[in-house]
Amino acid sequence: MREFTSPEITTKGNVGKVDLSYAFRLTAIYDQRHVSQTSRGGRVYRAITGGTIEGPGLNGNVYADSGGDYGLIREDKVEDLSARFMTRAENGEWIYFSHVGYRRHDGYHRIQAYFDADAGGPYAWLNDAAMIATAVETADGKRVVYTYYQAI
Amino acid sequence: MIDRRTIMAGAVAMGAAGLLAESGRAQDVLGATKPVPPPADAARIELRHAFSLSIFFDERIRIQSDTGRVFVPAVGGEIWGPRLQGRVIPYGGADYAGGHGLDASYMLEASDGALIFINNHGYMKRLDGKKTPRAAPAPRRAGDVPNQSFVAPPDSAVPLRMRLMPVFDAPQGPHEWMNSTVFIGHGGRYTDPDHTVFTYYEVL
Repeated sequence: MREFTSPEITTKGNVGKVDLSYAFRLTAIYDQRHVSQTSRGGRVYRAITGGTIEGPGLNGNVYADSGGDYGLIREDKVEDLSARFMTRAENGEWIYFSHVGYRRHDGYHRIQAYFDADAGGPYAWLNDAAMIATAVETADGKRVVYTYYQAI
Repeated sequence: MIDRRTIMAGAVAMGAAGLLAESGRAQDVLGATKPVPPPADAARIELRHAFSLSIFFDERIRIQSDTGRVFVPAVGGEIWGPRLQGRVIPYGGADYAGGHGLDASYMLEASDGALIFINNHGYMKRLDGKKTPRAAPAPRRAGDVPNQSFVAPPDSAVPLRMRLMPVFDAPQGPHEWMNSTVFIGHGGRYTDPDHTVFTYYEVL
């Protein structure tokens, strides 16, 4: 291993500030949740059957049966989230959604979201946004409200 | 030296705002300067400062591929703050960004010796709408000096916004909370010496 001694710098006190800007809210409708016990852990499958998106950044709908939740329940019972699905903005444009994050037993359910939108379109900003979301589920797990915030 | 605030204010007034008006976009990474408040009934969300780390750079290598894959190794660095202290392992990783934003993997060593992996995904954008010139072709002969002209400028020279969505893998024990917490990060660019300071927040 190479050696390195960090030089004295004057920037250690710089606590860079991040603001959260509300972008939109997505209400997802899911099918029954299944868990398969695999050698990696409990693979979740929960198909997304629809949903709506509204807010200052995006309005549209979830494209029915375009994917869903494929999380992995680890040994410590935390679910490593992995979701992917397609949505359609009000102008007809397709937008791909991808979620990673954690769903814990204490109710913590937070997401880092990635998007693909047309580079020349009005939602191109989503391609580069650092976006996080809260998630709140109904008790039966069939409806989840995601609230997305852009880190600015 | 020009004050960063002055540049930022200028960019917002003339550059980014002009861009917004031109494109008529509802929201834009470049234009989003004032946070939009969430609906009143939205779930609680909060950011809490977890720790900061410095990463020092020296070499910068870019492959002239379609995606412009880079190799920018971390020569080292320090970690400080309320929830983690330690160092960045010298040459324990690099930014391998290619195509879409930053994509760096580094190894961290906590002060108790624990090894923690970080994958640092994110973006760095100039807020003035201009492009940093792309590097000249890489050297073709062994022994040639790599062209380093794509070095990211410091925040003091151009207004930059760098935001990160890191994922950590920490061993079981005092740092395992990092395996089930979503983080968001801020990056600040500095030169003399060439380094970036990352500030990470827990998303609560």
